[in-house]
Amino acid sequence: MFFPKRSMAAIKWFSLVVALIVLSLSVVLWVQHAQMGYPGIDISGDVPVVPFQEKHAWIPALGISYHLGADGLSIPLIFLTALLTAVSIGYSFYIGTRVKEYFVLFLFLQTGMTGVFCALDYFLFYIFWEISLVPMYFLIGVWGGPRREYAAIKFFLYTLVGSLAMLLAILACYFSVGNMLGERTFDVLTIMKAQPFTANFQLMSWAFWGFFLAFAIKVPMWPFHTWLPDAHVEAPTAGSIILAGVLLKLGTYGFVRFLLPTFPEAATFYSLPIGILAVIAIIYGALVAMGQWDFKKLIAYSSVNHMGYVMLGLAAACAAGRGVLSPEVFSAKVMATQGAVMQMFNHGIITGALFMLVGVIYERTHERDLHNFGGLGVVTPFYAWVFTTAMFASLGLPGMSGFIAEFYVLVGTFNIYWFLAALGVIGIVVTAAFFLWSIQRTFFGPLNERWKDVKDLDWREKLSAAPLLVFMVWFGVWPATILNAITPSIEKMLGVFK
Amino acid sequence: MKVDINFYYLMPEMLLAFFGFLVLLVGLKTGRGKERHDFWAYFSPEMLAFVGLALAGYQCYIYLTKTPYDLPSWMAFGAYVVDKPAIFFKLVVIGTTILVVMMSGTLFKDRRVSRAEVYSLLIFAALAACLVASSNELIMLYLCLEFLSLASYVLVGYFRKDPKSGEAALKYLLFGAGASAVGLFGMSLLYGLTGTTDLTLIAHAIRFSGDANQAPLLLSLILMAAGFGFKISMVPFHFWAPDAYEGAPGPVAAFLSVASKAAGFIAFIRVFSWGVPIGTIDWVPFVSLLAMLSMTVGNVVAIWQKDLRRLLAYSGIAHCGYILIGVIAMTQLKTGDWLGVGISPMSSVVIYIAAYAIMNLGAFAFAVSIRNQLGSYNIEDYKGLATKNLPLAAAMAILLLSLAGIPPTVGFLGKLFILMVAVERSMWVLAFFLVVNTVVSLYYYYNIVRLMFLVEREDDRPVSGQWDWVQAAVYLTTAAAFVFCVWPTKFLEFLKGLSSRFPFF
Repeated sequence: MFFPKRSMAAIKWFSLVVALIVLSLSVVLWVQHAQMGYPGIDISGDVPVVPFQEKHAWIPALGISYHLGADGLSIPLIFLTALLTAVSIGYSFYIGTRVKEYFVLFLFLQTGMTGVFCALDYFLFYIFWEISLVPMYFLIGVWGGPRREYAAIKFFLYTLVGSLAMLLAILACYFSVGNMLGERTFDVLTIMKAQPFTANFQLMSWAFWGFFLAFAIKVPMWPFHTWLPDAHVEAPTAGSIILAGVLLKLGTYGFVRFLLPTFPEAATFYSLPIGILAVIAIIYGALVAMGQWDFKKLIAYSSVNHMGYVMLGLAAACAAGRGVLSPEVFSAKVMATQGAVMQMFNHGIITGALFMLVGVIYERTHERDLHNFGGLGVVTPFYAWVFTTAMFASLGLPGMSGFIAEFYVLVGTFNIYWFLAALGVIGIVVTAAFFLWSIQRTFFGPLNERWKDVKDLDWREKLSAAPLLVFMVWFGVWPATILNAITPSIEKMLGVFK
Repeated sequence: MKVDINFYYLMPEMLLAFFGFLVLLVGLKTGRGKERHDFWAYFSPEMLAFVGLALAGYQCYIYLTKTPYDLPSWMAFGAYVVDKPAIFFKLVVIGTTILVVMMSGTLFKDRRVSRAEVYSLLIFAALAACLVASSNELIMLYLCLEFLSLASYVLVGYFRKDPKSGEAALKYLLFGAGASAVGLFGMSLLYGLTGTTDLTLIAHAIRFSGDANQAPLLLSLILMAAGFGFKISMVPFHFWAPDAYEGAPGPVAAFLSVASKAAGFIAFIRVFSWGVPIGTIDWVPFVSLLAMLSMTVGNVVAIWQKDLRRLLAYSGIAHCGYILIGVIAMTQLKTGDWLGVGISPMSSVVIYIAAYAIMNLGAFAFAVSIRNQLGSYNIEDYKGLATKNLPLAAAMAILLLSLAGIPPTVGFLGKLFILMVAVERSMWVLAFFLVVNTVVSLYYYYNIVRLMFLVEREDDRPVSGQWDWVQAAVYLTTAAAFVFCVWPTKFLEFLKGLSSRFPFF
């Protein structure tokens, strides 16, 4: 923000350096977490044990503290945020108009997203949650496509409705939990331990739906997904990468961190409806994607489909079984949640890569209509190879990370809601269909003469795509890296359902 | 007879009165539209007004921090009480007036009028609002409200040659006179039914009155609600607000939007929350309905406004609805357990009014600043402002965020506290209205941001970033909006446990 406007290159390089520093710090965080044995947040004792905790009193009169912490659920997502932001900033060097504002907004957005993943105090969480809305509005509205103003305000208002419902629910929790002195607190772990509203199921349902609305709009779950196609299509490429890669995960993270552990009875009661909505998202997203001719919209709807898998896993995880917890059911639940959390990470990488690659071709040809592409494999072989790899990862080809995640989700869910898992498999088939069709329409077939001179990826784009491809393959072949990181935290979280 | 006045606690009012006259007198020498370069030039009306207001405000601050033990202080046989809520309202009013003085410097560039009278009127209006804040007696309340109204009428119509100004002043005057008359009738009914005009004794009388008096008492309250509702621009007594704000000079509209609202609210709270003991007369359904209407009408009609002053007038009507939720909460009992540190409804109302003052004055300062450069208050003229003058546009964006209630701004804190007291008392319908209206309000606040940032600029007139007091006011309020949310502890310490109830009941 303090850089003079004219030195655009300096701004861009400085932002990139900052993003890379943040990325390396997040790697350090992951490594340290590994060295500690991947502990999860443990609320079973008198004092919660939180790895990497940072807690300062902020507004003691109201019980608000500046409380941060990270465990296996958040560290992969923090790493994802850092990685995607670095990749996006590296990719965004082509921005020519209002460069300073662009990077300022981007870095603010990164703050907001990282903060959401670390926050352990509801007031702080709400602030970070809202902070991530404003830069996104501007990013879509200023640097986006032709219908950007409409998409931007739709995104903002839609998400705000959910956020305000969540605010009411947060306040309801705040008022129902008090320690022996009658003091209230906004602290997440204290509220989680106290399990508000256990006596009053109806009130618990209201609070549950308040949080649910906010997270469901963000995920997005069907039928709250209608902001997604507009926002994704009209956003600039880097904006789409962050939107699909990270912002959608804010919703699912909210489910795993706040909703399920704090309202286990409501979660169990409503798990089947949520599972059904998830399956509808899977099938609907895939079918609608298949009908799209706009490349970005196709990938946007495939996001709806993939996030459906996450929600399916989470719905299975909170399914009935409370009090009747046989070891198989518990391990199925763990498996489903592992799949869900892995899918969060993998989808971020994969869809981030997809949006970046679509951006590449849009920049070259100013076209996104699949009717007009054809035979690009001849002109840009490297690009074709990268894009095909990413698409295969997205449809869940074994050997790539997407497969592992979807596999875990489906196997875990099968043991709990077998019919939902069976329906979920349909989604995989349809996804494979539309991705293969789009590969065929874009890269194979006769070369459309208009694209004779399209240039292949340059070194900057290769460098931005490379880490994403690496992770796609790495976590497909050796998923233990991420599984070890998330499993202890998941087991701790699911322990609440006992 | 011994005069029952504690002069120490009357200092701010005395200072304001003194400086009001001083500005007027010195203004004979310095404020007449021509520049002076001798000894008197140092005593410009602006400077004197600022000094007087600053001293009065500092005195209020001292009451709260250094000498709070004698509060509440009763004077004039119970007609005048200086207690903590009153001092807070006085601080808000004085702060508002200081910011308005900052904004007013540029009003007089093209007009040959006497500057000093405006400043002196502003100080007197502030004095009147402070007097209202401390009134405990119906006649005193009425007199001080009328004092404030008269000063406001003159301020609105100050520029005689401007027909719009005259029209606005006339509308305001006629409406205000009518509303005050109705309010006075309500007060007279109340006197007739209870036999006294002192609010504490009225409360006593109502508590021990029989059931036969319920309906007339409710009627008198409804009539008084009309009188006060006019001042706070509550629906359906709000019709004067958009026209008055549009016709008045910018800084005067800013003053009206905050100070007279604050005065109206404290009057409302004194009568409805102190004068009427809880559980006796049930005015809550009536006022809740008006609050819901205010929020809805204010927000919905604001969507179509093209003039920033009218937009802020309608948004002010909506904010009045939000504050009324806090006022209603004062009469409700907490559901759930009774323990708990937290925010009392009075504190939430005070915080919201302070936050509203900050945000609204900032927005008006921005409007005045743009008008000075471009001559227009039309939001279409703000197109593409971000490319011309980014700091100003960014500041306005933050102020608009604050008005909409998005963190991390003080507007969010205000709305959060109102929501907290509402939820604590299970006032779910009103909380729902607040939440839905917040989303609606975001649309028109963000419309302005969209015009500033997302739309190309068509005309090439420069919007200079030259430092003047008006822009200073914008940046000051923006900084306050941000700082008070991130470090609110000091601010909240003062407000802890402000009781909403009369000390004896």
